[in-house]
Amino acid sequence: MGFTNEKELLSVVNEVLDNVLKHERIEYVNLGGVECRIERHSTQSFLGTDLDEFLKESHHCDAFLDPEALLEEPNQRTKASFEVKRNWAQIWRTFAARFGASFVSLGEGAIPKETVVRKPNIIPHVRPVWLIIVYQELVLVVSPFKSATFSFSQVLKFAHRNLDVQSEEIHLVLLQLIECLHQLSKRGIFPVYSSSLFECDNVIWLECDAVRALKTMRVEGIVKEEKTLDQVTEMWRSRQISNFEYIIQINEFAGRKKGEIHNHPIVPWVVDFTSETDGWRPLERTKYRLQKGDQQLKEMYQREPAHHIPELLSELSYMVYRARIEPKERLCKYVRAKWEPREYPSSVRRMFELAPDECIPELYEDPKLLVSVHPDMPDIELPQFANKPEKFIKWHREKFESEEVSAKLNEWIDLTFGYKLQGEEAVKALNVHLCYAEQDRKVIDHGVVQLFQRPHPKRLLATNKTKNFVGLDSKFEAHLADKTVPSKSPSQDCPSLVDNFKKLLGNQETLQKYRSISLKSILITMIEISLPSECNNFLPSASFEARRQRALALVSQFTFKLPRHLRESTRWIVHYLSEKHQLPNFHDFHTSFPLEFHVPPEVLLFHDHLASFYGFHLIRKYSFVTVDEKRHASALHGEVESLRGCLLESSGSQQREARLALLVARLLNDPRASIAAVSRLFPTVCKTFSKSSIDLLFQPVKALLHNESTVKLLDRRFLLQVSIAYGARQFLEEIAPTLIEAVASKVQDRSIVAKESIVWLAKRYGPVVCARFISSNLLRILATCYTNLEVIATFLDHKDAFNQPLEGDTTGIRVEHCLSEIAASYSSTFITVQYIPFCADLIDQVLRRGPQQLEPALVSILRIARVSMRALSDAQLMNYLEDMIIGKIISRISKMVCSENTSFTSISVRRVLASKILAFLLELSRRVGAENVRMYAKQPFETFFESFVLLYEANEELIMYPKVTANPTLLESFPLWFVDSVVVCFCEEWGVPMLSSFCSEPAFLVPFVSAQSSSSPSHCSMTGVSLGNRLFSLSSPCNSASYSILGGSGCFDSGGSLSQLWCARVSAAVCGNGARQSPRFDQITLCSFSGHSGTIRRIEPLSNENSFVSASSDKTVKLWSIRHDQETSQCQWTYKGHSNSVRDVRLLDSGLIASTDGCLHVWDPFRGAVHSQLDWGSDGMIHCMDTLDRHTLVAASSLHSSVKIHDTRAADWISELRVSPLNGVVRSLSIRGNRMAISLSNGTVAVVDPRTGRIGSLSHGNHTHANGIAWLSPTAFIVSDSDEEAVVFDASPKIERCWSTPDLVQCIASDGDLLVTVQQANTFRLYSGQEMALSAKIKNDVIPGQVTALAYLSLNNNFILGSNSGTIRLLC
Amino acid sequence: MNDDHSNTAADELVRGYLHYRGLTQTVSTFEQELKTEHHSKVQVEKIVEEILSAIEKHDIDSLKKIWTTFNERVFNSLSGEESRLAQQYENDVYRLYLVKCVQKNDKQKCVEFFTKIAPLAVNNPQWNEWFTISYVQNAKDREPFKKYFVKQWQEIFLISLHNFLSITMQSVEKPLLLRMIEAAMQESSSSPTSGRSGSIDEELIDDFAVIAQCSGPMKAASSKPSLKNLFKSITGKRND
Repeated sequence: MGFTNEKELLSVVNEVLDNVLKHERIEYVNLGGVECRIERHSTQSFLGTDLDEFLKESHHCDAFLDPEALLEEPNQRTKASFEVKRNWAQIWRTFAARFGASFVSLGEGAIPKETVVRKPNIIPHVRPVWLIIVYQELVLVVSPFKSATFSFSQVLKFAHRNLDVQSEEIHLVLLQLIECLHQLSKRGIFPVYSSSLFECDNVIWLECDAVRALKTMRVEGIVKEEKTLDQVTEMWRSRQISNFEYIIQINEFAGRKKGEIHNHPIVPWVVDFTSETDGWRPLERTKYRLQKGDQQLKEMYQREPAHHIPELLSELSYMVYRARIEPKERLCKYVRAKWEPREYPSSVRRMFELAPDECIPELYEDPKLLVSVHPDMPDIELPQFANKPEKFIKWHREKFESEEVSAKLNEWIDLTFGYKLQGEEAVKALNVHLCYAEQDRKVIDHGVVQLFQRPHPKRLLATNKTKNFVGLDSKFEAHLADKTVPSKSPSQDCPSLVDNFKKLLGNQETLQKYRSISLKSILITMIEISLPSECNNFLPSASFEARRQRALALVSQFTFKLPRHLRESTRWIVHYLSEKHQLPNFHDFHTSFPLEFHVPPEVLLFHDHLASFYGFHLIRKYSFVTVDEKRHASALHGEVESLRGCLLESSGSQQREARLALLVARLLNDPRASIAAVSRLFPTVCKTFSKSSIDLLFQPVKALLHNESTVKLLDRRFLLQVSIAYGARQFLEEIAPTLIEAVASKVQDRSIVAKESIVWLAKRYGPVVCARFISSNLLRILATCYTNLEVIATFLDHKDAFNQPLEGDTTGIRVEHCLSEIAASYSSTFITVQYIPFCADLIDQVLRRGPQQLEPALVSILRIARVSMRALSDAQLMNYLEDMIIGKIISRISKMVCSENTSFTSISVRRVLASKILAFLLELSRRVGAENVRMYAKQPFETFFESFVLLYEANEELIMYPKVTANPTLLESFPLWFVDSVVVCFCEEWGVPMLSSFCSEPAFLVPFVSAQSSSSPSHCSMTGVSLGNRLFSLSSPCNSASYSILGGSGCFDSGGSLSQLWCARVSAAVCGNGARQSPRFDQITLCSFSGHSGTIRRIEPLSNENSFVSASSDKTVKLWSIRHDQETSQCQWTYKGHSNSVRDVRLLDSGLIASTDGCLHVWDPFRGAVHSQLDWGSDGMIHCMDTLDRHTLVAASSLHSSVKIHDTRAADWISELRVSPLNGVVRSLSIRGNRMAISLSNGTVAVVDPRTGRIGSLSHGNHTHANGIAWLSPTAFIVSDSDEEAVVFDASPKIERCWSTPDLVQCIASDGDLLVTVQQANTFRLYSGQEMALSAKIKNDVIPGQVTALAYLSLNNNFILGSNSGTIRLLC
Repeated sequence: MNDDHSNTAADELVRGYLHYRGLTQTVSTFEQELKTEHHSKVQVEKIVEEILSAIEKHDIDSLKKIWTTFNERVFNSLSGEESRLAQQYENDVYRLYLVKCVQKNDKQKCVEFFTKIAPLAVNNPQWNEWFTISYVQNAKDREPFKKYFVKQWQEIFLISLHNFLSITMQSVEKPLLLRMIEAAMQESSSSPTSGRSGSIDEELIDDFAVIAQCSGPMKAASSKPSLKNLFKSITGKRND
């Protein structure tokens, strides 16, 4: 928190004091919009801490520190140390100066005696301290409050999930420790380090609490000796402590704390409450297993992730157990949102029977738990034999301490805290916990902790004295057991004068001692972090000496478990710890650490970038009492840039990328940072990250786009990046729906931006994809604009039946705009095959289910109908008018609206719908003319007039009155002004004679018309004849009708640009939308691409399917764009860099193209720049390749049995892998995920992991002239050969032949379980699984020559074929 | 920056240091090895050969040394999964060694082996059963020793090990000495951009339709070096 002046500072001080004085315990407080943590320390808690030493250390502090720290006179300090009552203010003044905190010392009556205002100082790995207030015996430390922090020691308890010490992650953690040591020692603090001094976030970025660190500077020996787990176990075994006490202590070792809902102590249920003396619960099986049965647990284990037990103690169980004493709000939060007091188990027995989890300690010690605090919830029912709370607890506890339990408790411990939690034993005991099975990288700080690696010892048999010890103080028992507990010396709380004097004499020595302990403790902590699973046997408060001993023992016992690069280094750690060597000094240690501990240099850089990122983040997030936009922006800039620095440094390391993905996600979640983060970081992420790391960001990006407040990022520039990064399919399936929803968003800006983007997307992906993924969803989403069918308030008084605009119209209009834009840019086929049938379907549904829930849908139907009418050409409109638009849509809705039998949720809804229908009809009549309306669209008019006639009649004075027989609902829905407005309007349009022909009782119209006696005759005459060229009738010859067989008619005069073939594709896509499209091949050429003069070797489409690349033996690679408005296409660009026939081409996800003519060329198609040209290195021509990741590809040469990996970021080969023990030449290869299938000339087929080079399996005696391999599923692949039939192999676990094709396969394409092959003599086959779905000879006029290359466009369901004549065709 | 150039500089520095320390024997060995070794970087084939020869010669100390070097210099930046694989390969290499000893029926070597790798094998469940290998009859027909005697397994193992080393070694940063030399050389040539950051901001495109048809002749293949030359010539002039 930056204070600009003293006034600001003092106002905050007052606020803090207010809070502190008001509340007994307070940790979190909001000060002027900034969330703060307040810690209070009493001077008492610092007794025994050598604060004088801390003060003395200021001599050694570097000069960069605040000069105020050096202002104090040395004499004063010496004097101070003699005072029994220390000068607290002085100590904290120094502290504040060294840590860059503002400082206030308050005197009597909270009047400030001394104030120092400071700019915040950010010290890496030290929790920032903003303000220190000294007041009487209190020290208040104000620091920023961060919500998502974990205690580092707790994080280490779950190291199996949170920190893989065998991976390079460990470097960064250790480096942070050293950095912290460096920072604190510079400031005169030499704490006893342990993991409990630190907190961390989900990236394991450590922060040390300097105040707590200061507290650990104690004279040795004062620290009370804590028992270790082994000792406690032994005490239980030898019956020195009770069962209950032991279980409670184990819980403590496992980091479980009372009251923490996710981490509450857990004790076993021991009886089922059926009998006073019997009914023992089996302790060798988990409660979960007893509850759910073995069958269900085994089933759970079959699922992913394979586990038996979701959690040790669920929130639900915890709350249900404590239902009687927990507040209602909490119960509603965790159990059921609705308060149903009777649903909670009525008796202890029911509780036991229902619970899948173990018990909580309260049921053995706290009678209050049984008595309800809720007036509407009865107390819990107790068994007959123990019917009073106190009696029950006593009885229950006795049961717990019984011999039956004592004898078997060790088995329960094995399951809950012991060796049966992991490995085979866990599987055998149906005891695999979810937190061991899950693979995700979320940091957890609660769950099961395995404390015992071996079977837990049994309890010794009872002897006489045992029973007495129930509930005795453990220290007392320890005395009885002749265990030495260090005695508390009476003087320890308050050092005597003599002690002080001694200390003064030995000052230099103790100082050295602090330093040495501090340094040793950091080495110990490093070992503890490296072997986290072995370190659960001490409590966090364990003494330095005990930890030292343990560390020494661990290093010798578990060398093999240490991170491999530390195994040798730990030797000299051992030397230091056992005092065989002089310790290095702090500065030396800090500089030599990276070398001695083999920290890769990039980790150092990475750490520095991260440190600056966190620094800027702090400044931005927590800086100010008064918000300063400019500083915010500059801090954000620094934050983003340092993260970008990290990104550039991190390439290649999975672990670091995963951490960075978390940080990027954090910025994306921050509304004030997301735009900057995305625009600056996302391109960098795409350029540097590998596929798996980019995938980590998918959910955050999706959530960001989903967020209602996101506006700018719906812009096409960002969407383009997203669609490139994740591929078209994932984008269309997961992101596009969000965008379409956004068009219907209530937030105007968001809706407008999304609308523009949707129109752009529709054009980008072509008509077929648009029909499948975009327009179909737009149609559906339109209804959601009208969830609230309210007429806009200002129009409520307008008595105009045609103009009743709805609240939803403003957003609805944008969806409509998208729809009409799509129809206009492609063709009206969209209307005829998708929009209108959609409406008709929807009406069917409404008729089936009643209109109430679907009222918004009805409005949307009318809007779609209007869009359709406007977009159709006159001829098409006339074609579809009678049957479809009027027959299936308008007249059915009209009937619904005018029928008294249909009920709507409100009267206004009916009126609104009627108004929309009439508005549509009016527009229609103006478009086609009255004559055509009468011929083809008469019915809805008749429906309306009929119902009007039933409602109103005229009296003698020609004034309209409601009929007595009129239905009151309809009457209210169609008030007189409404009817009047309708009749008058149409009368004006058509004239009376024409109008009366629509009405069965023309007399009804008279009163309305007579009021408007001067109805314009000009209109009447106009309607009779043609309205310009707008008047058509079916009788007039219409050339478009002949196309109707293709589903899309009249495309030539529609303004859209699609050929009839494409229209047919669109309708096919729409029709096949519901079920999985059955693969088809109709041999219809959609487009031909000419330009190549030699055999096409390979065709590679882009994931968006609007472009593809082809490689040909004519020494060129050509880039093509698939255009829907052209039947023949020229190439967009030609790569002419090759000097030989091009053998293979691949697209990298990073946007580059790799092609080879024997020599590998990597080039950028969009800039025409060559990135690298490489040959194999020795003889041998590169002849086939496949992509491994976004930036890497694997290539094979014609003369070697090895493959080489190329990284485009390094622009060089990075490694060479051998793939077979036998000699042979790699013929063909294909990669999917972490499997690479390779076929060699010696008949070997191998599956190799290209990421580690590990050979998975080999099979000999197969193809010798393989010309293609393709993966069909994660485990199956097909190998084609130029001499034999193609064979499908299964590679799991061993390579085995599955089935083979009947003849030689020329080329292969696959997608999902669909396999497409072209055989010699151009036979085209489609396989679905092993089944041949289709086999056809490709006609000679479809493509000239033998087909040599094949690609399948799965989104469009099209095929691109290339032949040896150099022709390429897009077929369907 | 030319690899050979900085390598020569580093060689010279090392030579100087060795002379300074008076490590003359090392100097002569150093010179000798330099004559035969022409690659700028250690070759994977050579390392695998060394491992094999250590196994053949029953030289557990060399084998351990090789592996310690791997652990500290190569395997210090592995992912968790890779690290577990490295662990497995480490075990397998030692087991292969042990199996060779057993095949030669050299009990002495077996005992020596276990004393030498004690820190790795003690308490390690992966090694528990192996302590008995020299005492059981027909170890080659028994689990878990069986597969280590199979020639095909050995071959495949060696290939996998070779590939693993090849992949992990490429991610190892150059040694500090080389990087310092290169940094110094770079500074003196004062090239202001590193070349990498320039291209990173360009927008992403994925549609060939945006490429103008019949675009002009291709840019020169080596666009980056030419840019560097340009900078060089600019800075050169300024220096003049």
